[in-house]
Amino acid sequence: MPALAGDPRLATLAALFVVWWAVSAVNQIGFGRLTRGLRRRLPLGVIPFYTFFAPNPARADSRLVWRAGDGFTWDGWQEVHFGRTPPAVRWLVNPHLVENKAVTDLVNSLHRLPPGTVEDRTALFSSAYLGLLGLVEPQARRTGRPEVQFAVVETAWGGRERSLRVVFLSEAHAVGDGRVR
Amino acid sequence: MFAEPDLLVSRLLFVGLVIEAVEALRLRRAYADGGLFSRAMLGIVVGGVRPELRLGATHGGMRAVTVAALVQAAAAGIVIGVGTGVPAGMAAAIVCLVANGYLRTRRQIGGSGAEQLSFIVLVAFGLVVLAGAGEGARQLGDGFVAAQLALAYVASGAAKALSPTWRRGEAMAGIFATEAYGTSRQAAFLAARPWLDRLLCWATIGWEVTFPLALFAPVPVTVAILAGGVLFHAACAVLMGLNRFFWAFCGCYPAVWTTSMLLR
Repeated sequence: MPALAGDPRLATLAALFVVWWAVSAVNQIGFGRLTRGLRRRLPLGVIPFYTFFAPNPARADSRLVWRAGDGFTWDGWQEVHFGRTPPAVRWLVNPHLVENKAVTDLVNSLHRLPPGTVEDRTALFSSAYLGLLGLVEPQARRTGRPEVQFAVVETAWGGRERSLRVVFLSEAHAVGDGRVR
Repeated sequence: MFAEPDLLVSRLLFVGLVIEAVEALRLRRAYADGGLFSRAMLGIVVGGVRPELRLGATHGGMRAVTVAALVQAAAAGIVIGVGTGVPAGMAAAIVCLVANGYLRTRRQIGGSGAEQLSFIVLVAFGLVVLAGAGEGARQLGDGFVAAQLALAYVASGAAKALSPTWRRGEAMAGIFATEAYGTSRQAAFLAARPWLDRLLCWATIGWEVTFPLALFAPVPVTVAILAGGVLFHAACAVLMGLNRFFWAFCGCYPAVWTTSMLLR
């Protein structure tokens, strides 16, 4: 074992590592104002939270769909699709996992909004809602139609077919001149 | 890992950083205006968070990300070539830390546990260098990385053990039923064999919560646990597409080995 006595740099390093590990460990239990406060202040996720598919493992893909309209009629739904890396190569490089995980992160943030925020429309001002709207808005603008609406659909393999469930439906938003209303 | 930089296995983590850089280059257009990770999009995503957490999130577009990814790939390549025991390798690892930090803060969403662990290891190495990068500092760094890895597995295993879905042995079939982590063939195979799903769920829980034994148990047990980890992460890469977890987590195993030898 390294001798810490007599070497202040080593002693400081050891103390730093012990504190960092202890805060990381407490953070796994999910309590403590101090830990939460540190997580909110330290950038880049240096206070980790390890769960990896637990307690609720992924059971469905979150897909973002949108449609354009004019206030009276709607076009068909279209998907914001980033593609999937083919299984034959994704063991080595899997860039699409990052894009799809980013959408899943936004959708999960939407699901974590406090109850009632959709009904009282404060959800419309959340980062997750605005982020998803920001993803579909440029695509809707290209259609020339003045309104856009998006939905989150969960899909999973079930037997020979894919199951499909709408889990969120946005309000209709006016689009024009680079602005969303 | 840090204490034995001449060993090639001590450089595995940097292979993952090269792959991460390649993926960032592949996604570079997503950082341009109108893209998933454009500055406007990130401005919305980080709008409500503290300034210190969004530092750099909206700085630099496609070109800056491309440069950072190229720098990370080149620096990680140098570490793979020479190790972290020589000044050039140490400097390259610090460059990796800076480039990786920028790429992490610039994207904010879509991150993974592999990226998180890799970054923690890079920061730990930065601290080891600040402390002089002598043998003692490197051993402390290895000990910290081993402790973080043990924490990651135990926390993850405990969270699974507390989950009814995992305890019932239904988790793997559900995960493979997604397009992101499975295929229809894998989902159907496991759905037809619920006993295999149960076995895989409990094997994962058991292996994860007992991982810290690798630090204290007799050498054959340590070898068995680490070999199990290599198989586990290789299977996750091949079957679920979790490619970078293999390099990030198995890349820390040399730190577990060194620490377990010091603890005996």
